[in-house]
Amino acid sequence: MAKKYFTWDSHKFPHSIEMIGNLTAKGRKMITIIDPHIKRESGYFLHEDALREDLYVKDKHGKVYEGWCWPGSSSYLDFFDPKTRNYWASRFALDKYEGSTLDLYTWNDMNEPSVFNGPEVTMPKDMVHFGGWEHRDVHNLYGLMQVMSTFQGHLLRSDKRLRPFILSRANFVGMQRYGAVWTGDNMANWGHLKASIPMCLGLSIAGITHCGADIGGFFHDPDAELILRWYQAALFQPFVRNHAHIETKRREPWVFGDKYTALIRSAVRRRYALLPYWYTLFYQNEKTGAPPMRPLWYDFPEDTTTFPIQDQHLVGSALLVHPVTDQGASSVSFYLPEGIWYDFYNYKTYVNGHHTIPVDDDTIPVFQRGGSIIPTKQRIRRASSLMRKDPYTLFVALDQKGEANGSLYIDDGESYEYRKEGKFLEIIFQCKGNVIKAKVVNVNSPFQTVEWIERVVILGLTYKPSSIEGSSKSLGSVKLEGEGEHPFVIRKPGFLVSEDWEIKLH
Amino acid sequence: MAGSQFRQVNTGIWHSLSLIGIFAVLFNRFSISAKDLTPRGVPLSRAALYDAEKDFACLDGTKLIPFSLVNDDYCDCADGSDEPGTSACPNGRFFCLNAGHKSIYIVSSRVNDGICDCCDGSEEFDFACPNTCDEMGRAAREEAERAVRLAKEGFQKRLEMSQVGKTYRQSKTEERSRLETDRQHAEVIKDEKQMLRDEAETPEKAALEEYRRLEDERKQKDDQEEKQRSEEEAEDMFRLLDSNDDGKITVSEIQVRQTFDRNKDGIVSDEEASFFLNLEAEMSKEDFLKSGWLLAKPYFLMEKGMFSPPEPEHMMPEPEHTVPETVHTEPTEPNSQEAEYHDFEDDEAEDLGDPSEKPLEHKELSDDEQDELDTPKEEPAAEEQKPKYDEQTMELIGIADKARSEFHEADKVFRDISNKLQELNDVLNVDFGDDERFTPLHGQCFDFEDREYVYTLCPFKDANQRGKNGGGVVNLGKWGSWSGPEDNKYLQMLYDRGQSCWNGPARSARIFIKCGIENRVTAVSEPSRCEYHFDFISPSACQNPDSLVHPHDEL
Repeated sequence: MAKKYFTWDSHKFPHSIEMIGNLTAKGRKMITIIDPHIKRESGYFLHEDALREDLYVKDKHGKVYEGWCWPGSSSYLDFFDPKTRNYWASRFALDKYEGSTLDLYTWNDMNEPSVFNGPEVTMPKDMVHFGGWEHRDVHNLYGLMQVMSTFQGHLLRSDKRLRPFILSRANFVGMQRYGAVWTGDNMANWGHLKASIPMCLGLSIAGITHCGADIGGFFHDPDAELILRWYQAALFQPFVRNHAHIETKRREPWVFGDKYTALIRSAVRRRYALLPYWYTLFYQNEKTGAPPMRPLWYDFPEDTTTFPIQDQHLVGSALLVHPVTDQGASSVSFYLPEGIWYDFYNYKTYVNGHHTIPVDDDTIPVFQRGGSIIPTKQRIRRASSLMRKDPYTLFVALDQKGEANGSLYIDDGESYEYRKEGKFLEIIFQCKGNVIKAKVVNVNSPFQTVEWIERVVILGLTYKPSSIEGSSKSLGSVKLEGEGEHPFVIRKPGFLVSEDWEIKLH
Repeated sequence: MAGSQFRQVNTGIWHSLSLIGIFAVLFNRFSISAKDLTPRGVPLSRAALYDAEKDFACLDGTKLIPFSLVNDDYCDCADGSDEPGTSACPNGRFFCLNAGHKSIYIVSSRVNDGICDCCDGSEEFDFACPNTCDEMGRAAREEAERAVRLAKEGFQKRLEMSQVGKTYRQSKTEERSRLETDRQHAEVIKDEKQMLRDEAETPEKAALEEYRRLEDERKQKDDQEEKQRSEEEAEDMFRLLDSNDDGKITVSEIQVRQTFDRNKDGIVSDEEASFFLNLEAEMSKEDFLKSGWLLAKPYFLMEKGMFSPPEPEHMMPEPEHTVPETVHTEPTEPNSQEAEYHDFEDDEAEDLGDPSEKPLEHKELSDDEQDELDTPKEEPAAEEQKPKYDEQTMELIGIADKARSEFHEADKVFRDISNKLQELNDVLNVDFGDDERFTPLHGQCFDFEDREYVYTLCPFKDANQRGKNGGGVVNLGKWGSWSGPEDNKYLQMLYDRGQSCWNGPARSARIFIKCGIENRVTAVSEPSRCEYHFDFISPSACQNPDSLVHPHDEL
């Protein structure tokens, strides 16, 4: 019950570095909660530093404000004060935050700020922040200022080499620069599953794009069907997390019986397969602000039918998702805007309009837009970090003209070398006139990778090619094998992703 | 996961394996093209399925592919059999020889992912994993030997526990049949005594009936007189208060009398006065006799110093207390003895009943209550000083008292035996495991202490938790049932119906039992809220070591 941030419970976590090491040895990361309320306990360095260096929010008489939160009597750091932000950021240094490693990241919770005994469970409006601003004026910014400082701390601890990961409950315009957000303490019911879609669409359109909801619902206990459907929906939203109140029942994917373990595993694997696509979407998001999860009207602004739709959404412009969010559903009705669409998992072809399809436990209705090329990785791994060297499978979904376009962004997945040294690859895929081409946009990139093209899956091909010819600089001209009709699968082109290549269908 | 087929193949060729191990490592690293070797990730026992001279048939028989496509890092077979040595197939598996330790299959997703999974490191061929097989093999062999030793010792103890259990059940079963005979005998005696008591009570009852009739008559007469006296008194009072003789009492007539100054301020206010007139301005004689008198009377009595109300607001004294002489001044009420007697009869009828019909109810009575029921109530001492009945009646009562007392004695004996029998049946109905091997745990308790709590498991009774820094004992569940898997239910106990959690379910505890040479709780956790998990070791869970695989067979 200590709840002293930047410290470890010496009984429960006596060897934190070893514990973190056990996780990261398998390519995983760890996150701890660090909140803005500070336990008022003499001898706790953070509290004493804050008192001595005048880092706390004060009341109108200049007295340090005291409220009640997880640790009991607490005071709140005034993140509007640059002095406080610098102090806070400095505490993330590995030699200051004892027992931490570079694989330990941070979740800033309760940062509205939450005050259990305050008006509207927050800070009184006449508390005074840096520069004489009353809390009423800056309340909505408080969480942002904390996250900004936490982000800075993570940057500094690696000498600005590594990208931070911060999760925050409070949000404000601009938060997307620092971290991810989730929709807060939801409940284990179908209504809240449904609501996760418009909530994240709203945030995405507002620019806060790394959004997700607690899978299964934070409060109460989901049954197997609800948690399965929630996984299936959430795995097509940007931020994915199963999280619950401490007093709920265990709800790990494997506690609902073999059948549901297998079904949830199937859904999770689909997420991992699409990570190269998500990563590319977030690259575009960083460059242009375009949200990875978006409402249909974002890409189809002329189609008024799409305007009120909030039970389905797009992932980038190439995938349309209508997750099953009804209990006991045996079918799902959805709307597809203009063009040809292919069921991403059984390749059935659809055209613009309303459709109803049967669904079983394993069905996630996802459709690839004709005219798009999606990069995926089909190899199964324990963690995304272990997929780094795995080969790509491209899904080429042809439009009416037999054409398609797509792109792929790759970097080391963790550092800022992509910014500082241009260590990344941006690749454009194009299919036109029976030729599929890959072109590296940033030629002479210093980024090196052994990744290669394992498979090209073509949807909507109207003929069966008699021969396939591939070529790249290092492989020269090669004869390739293909099989099937729809999909038509080109076997093991073997091109390095870092080189231009092309495949001709005859 | 390790194929039993392979284990059998390797049994007995232990010494040659390490050589093959080195060979396989060399192959993994350097000689993928060597066609005469087993492909990477395939055990020697299955080498025949991968013949480099022929096309490869997917092991599910669905496809025939050129052998060059085996382990070419592209998945061609639906069953994953063409890629035993790469990560290309989602459902593939990779064989680690692990010479010096146990050979295993790993899922193909772990091949070449940068993490060393096989102790011989054979599944990572982009970098060199350290070979830890010798070290791990040694540790595993030691562990297996330890397990066998433990099983041996434990199983010996289990047999002893089982013997204790069997003896216990036998002696308890014998005791039960003895008690059943005793119980039959006691029941006969009890029924006999009951009959004798009933016979003795009949003449006693008839004699007392006569006394009761006379008493009732006297009481009725007293009541009549009392009522009349009260009415007369009320009428006298009405006349006194109705100073203008108009047949009504008014506020002003009340106000002239200091008696009614309720708050003692020297003035009888309008409010004070109207209180006595039921808040009306006036009151008829009829109403006064009905209710007004009851309000006014205490004040008259107070004035006379004869009555002091227990509470200021108590304005309704019992009518029979009007006359001072009738207030409890006499040592005994005329009918008190008979009232006592009735109480006794009622007790017997309602609480005792037929003991053989309600043994459980009696079991739950406290000792004091039991004594009270077992012993007939003593006649009040006052009774002896002041005999009220004639000699003949007294004699009848004496005979009946004796019969009652004898019956109660016989009944107590019968009930004691019944209770013992019930307890015995409760024990004999518990499933102490096949061979009675868990019996010695019955009646024992085992503590486990962590930082905050002391947990106590009393097998076949309950599980508890007690805070070390105060707070009471919390029941985590009462003995419920064996709850292990169907083929071995004695691996797990369920204690349920424990104390309810605030806003939550009733607590429950599952006890996971493993073989050990002593009986001990080794860990307690609460994986879900209010659902506790105890690890318990006991010799009674040890399997016959002869049924365990010898450690060397595993390698």
